[in-house]
Amino acid sequence: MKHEIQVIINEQPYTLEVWSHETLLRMLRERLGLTGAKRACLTGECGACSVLLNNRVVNACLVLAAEVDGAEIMTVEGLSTGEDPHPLQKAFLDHHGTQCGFCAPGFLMASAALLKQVSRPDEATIRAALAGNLCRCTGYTDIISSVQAASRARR
Amino acid sequence: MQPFDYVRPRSLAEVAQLLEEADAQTCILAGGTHLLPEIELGRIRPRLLIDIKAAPELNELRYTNSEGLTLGAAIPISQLLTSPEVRRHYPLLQEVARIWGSVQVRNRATVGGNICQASPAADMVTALLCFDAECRIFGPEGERWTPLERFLLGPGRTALKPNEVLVSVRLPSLGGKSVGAYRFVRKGKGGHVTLAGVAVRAVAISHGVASWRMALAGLASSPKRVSEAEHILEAGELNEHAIHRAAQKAADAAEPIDDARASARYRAALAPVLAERSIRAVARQMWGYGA
Amino acid sequence: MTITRKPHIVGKPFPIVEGQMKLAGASTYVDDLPFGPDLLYCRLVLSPTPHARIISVDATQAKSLEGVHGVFSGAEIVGRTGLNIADRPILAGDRVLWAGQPVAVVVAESPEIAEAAAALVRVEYEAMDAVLDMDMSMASQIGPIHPEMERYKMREHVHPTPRSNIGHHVERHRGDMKQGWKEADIVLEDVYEAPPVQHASIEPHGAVARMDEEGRITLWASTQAPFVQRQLIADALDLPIERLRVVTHCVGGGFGGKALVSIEAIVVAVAMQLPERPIKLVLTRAEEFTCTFLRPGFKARVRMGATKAGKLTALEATYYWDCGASIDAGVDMAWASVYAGCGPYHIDNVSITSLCLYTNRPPTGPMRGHGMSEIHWAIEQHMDRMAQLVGLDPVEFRFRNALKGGDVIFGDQVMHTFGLEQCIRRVSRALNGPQKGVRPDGRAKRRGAGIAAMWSPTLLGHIVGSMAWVRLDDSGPVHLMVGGVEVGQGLRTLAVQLAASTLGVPLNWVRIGSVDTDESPFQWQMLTTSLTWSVGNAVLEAAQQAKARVLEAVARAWDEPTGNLDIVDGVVISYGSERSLSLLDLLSDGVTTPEGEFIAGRFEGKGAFSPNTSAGYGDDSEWPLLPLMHFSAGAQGVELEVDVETGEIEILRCVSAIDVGHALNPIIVSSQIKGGAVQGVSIGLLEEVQFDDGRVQNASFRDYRLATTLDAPAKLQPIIVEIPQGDGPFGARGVGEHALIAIAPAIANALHQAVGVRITRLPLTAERVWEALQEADFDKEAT
Repeated sequence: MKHEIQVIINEQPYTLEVWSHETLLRMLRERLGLTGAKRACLTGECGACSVLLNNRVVNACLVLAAEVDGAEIMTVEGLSTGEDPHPLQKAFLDHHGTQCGFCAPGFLMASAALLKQVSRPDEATIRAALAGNLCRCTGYTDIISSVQAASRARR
Repeated sequence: MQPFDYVRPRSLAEVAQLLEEADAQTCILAGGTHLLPEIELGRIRPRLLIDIKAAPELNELRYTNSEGLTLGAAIPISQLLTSPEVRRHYPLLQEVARIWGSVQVRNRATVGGNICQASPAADMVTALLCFDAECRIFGPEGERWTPLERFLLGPGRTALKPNEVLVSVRLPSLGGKSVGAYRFVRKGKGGHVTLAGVAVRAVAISHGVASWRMALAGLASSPKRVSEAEHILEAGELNEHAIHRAAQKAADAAEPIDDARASARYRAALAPVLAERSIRAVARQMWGYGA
Repeated sequence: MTITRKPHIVGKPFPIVEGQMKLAGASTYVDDLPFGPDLLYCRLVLSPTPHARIISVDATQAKSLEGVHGVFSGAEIVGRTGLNIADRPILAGDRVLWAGQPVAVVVAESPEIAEAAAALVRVEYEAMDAVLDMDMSMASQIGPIHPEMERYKMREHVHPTPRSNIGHHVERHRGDMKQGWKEADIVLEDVYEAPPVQHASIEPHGAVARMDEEGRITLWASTQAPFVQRQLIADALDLPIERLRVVTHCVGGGFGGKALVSIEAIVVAVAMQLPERPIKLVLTRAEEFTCTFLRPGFKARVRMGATKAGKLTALEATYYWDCGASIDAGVDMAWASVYAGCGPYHIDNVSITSLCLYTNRPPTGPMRGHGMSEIHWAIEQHMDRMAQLVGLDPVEFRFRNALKGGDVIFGDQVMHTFGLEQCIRRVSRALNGPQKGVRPDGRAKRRGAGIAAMWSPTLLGHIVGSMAWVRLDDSGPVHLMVGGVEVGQGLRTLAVQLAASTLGVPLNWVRIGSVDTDESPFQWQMLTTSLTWSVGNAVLEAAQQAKARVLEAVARAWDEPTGNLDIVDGVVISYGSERSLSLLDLLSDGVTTPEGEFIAGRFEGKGAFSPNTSAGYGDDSEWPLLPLMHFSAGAQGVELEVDVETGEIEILRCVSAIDVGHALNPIIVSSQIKGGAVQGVSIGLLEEVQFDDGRVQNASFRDYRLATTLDAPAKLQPIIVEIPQGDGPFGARGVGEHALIAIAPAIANALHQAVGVRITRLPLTAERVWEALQEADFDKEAT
């Protein structure tokens, strides 16, 4: 079954015909070529496909495309504005918040959602907010420092 | 993921109508955080998903002094964290919501979904048991109510009939200061599956007297009330002896199983430890002692 | 000419060169590559049972589904892969050897159709008795699971025991064991175990292959070793190597799990059956646990003797490796565990045996640490226990036995200088706080601290050496090519730093490409933390050559001696004539000599590094030519808090001191150390692939828990020790694996200090700690 949906993705409006069983993740990656959100577990356990849905972070593998009719989505591709990297992107670069890079888009989106709610989160808040994102490379401390640095930069 | 159809009814009446035509391959989609992985992993193969999130009746979060708290089945767990009424009257629900799943999952997973999944280890259901929650069910024969305790029939099994839907749960108002605590053990601090957990809640009645509730997660085939412990805690002064006896009742009530996550022996041993910790945490919040 | 002074770009904390792309979500991993509407999707049919004869595979129904382009089983796709021994079937042949083994592959126009069709493939099995664990494997009651093993292609250093499940047996001895035990005042023997674990890179294994109209196949793969894949897949499929090309862009973590061949051979084989269609297979998370590699399960029997004065006199150790259905990678691990099997200590009398055992479990492969994590799990706990029996502080006991430069190690090599003692000292100093069973707030909590030391050999596999190419032209301006793969360890950044600093150009002038076996210089494996050292040296040489070409050209144009010239910040300058010329102008416009000769175009350099010690041992050495180039040393310390009622451990702090020779980029080195420590915590506390009747029970991130932000210690303290590596680039050697190795034994030692219980089996889950406390009848009320 197909559904016509209207959705705003990274501030651009789209009208799309999607399948009932098409996940938001698949829609983004295969229909729109937005491959920043990653396929890694498809069961909501790793956070690599995190995107913002109406400003809240969700696993795009656990949302159907048909469910986002009328919603606003932001992916990692929409994080920077023009040439300027988002403060989080800059901080992750400066503080070595990524190694292999695969989980980074998910961490960035979960962090972005956090900073929308709490402007200067403490370490415990950051750890709790990022506990749904797995990283096998960094040991997390550099990610946490990156988020702290970004929150200071945004002030 | 194998193909299925998807419908998004706009009211409870529409949901009910769709459910009347439902067959065994129809599934209700709430948050999808349990259902969609099950489909992805090929464990279930539905023909139709009925998305209940657009029905206003299932999205209520309302508090009145007379009726207490109504939680629509489709409200996400994360919404409990932003509600001032929940914070004020049912802080235990917030404590559990904070440690429930990940942020991503909390933003989708629903109260009703957590109840209907009927996991023995469901933390939120365990907390809801501490508030004498009642389930509002809607089906072809109209509406019916059942206590949450009787709604849960075992792992994956509920009192919901095939053509029925859980609309909401209602938590009676408490009439006094309510405090709660939830202590649990999981595989790692970041784990999501509770091996054993004990929720305790007290409502102040008068100086030094409270009504108590205790419920267990992961320690029986469904989350389970421990009324024997509640009686002890309500019977008299909250002293060391009472705390130990009440905690022992949690151990007595536990009927855990062995599985790949933990042994029954270990789970059973956790029951009194966690019960005691939750009781003490409640007493500390309520009266500043008992730690 | 050569640069001898250390340029300013080296040793500085530059951000990773591909960071901006990665953080923009613009880096392409194999699953992100676009292949258009021709793309076909694979789905595997897996064995439900650990050991069985395949009676029939019936794909009639599956093939009749619309959109299915083919179903292939072991009857159509025949071949086995392997580096040391070709014992891994691409698809199951007449038997399945483990539950979850690929038996057939379905190819269809969409993932849904492939999934539906895979469910329709009917496979009839006749169950066989399965070798479910190492004890069953040793007992040999069940016949060899590879009965025709002797006929497999294997290298000389694989030593199977015929007609058994012992796929590889190696033992070495030195000194006089009888004498060693006689000299000992204290002897302790025990068994240590570690279960199989999974690499769990967040990016699953994925591959796409396409055969072009001329019959040439390109494989795009998430791999740590494109050149190894090209060779092993070509061998297995009887394909001339020049018909296969392997391309690797970004890899989302490897940790050894992508070092060899797993599912990639399937994709290539399918591409050969369906020409001119790109064929894609990306594994599900569950398939990651049975279709790739596990780290072998491990058991060690260790017996140690020491004098009252604290001098080790003898060590006898047997290391058993549960290699699953493929011992291929275990062979090298077993060798390494013999070479390095006594830990970083000098012992005169040593006897070490290492056995790779076949079981009906998923194939095993190398994992970060390459066997060293496991042997140190045993040795470093044993050292603490010996220290206690001798009555010495564990640190002092280690000092008394620590290997020193000049010692002849068990493996017959003369030990080079390394920073073992510095590492131990610095970690023990950092841990020196209020400890020892101290109760913090909360009467159920106890604290403890523990330390473990380690060493780790760097091997280079069977083809020793690295190459790098540097090309300067007006399209770059600097193109750098290496055959080593970036998996997050920072190789590209280090290579760019070394090239830029040697050439005298800004960092952002250097571009480094993906690895493509058609285009990139050859690099055999990415193994045992060797790339910084080996690729680094090759980059230096290549950049030096290219720079010399530039300076020669300009020197001729300016009619000056080359020695007058240098390149500084991208400008060729002369200290003689004080002339200068922008390198960019040179590359675009060329120069003309006084004789009128026009010199323009590309300036190239090709570097190659092959270590002097690659000859290894003399002809009559009993050690085979599996060169251990050098050792790294380190020490790690852990502070933890244990809840004596629930058994839960919280790691408060990890201190890791690693001798990295020289930190070419301290931020990358620190990051590697921190990441390794948390992987160590994860494996130490949480990770275990659980089996029931041969089937993996926890093949998901829900039940196979990795450490999260909540499990990772609040404090990770990396300490960089720098005792230069004689033949390293600016004295550097690698760091990647080492930071994982000593964490688990340090946790066990800290737990012992906190509550007096000793756990010899990983992981230290809350339940296991609780059980140990029960057995020890731990008194909660005592301090």
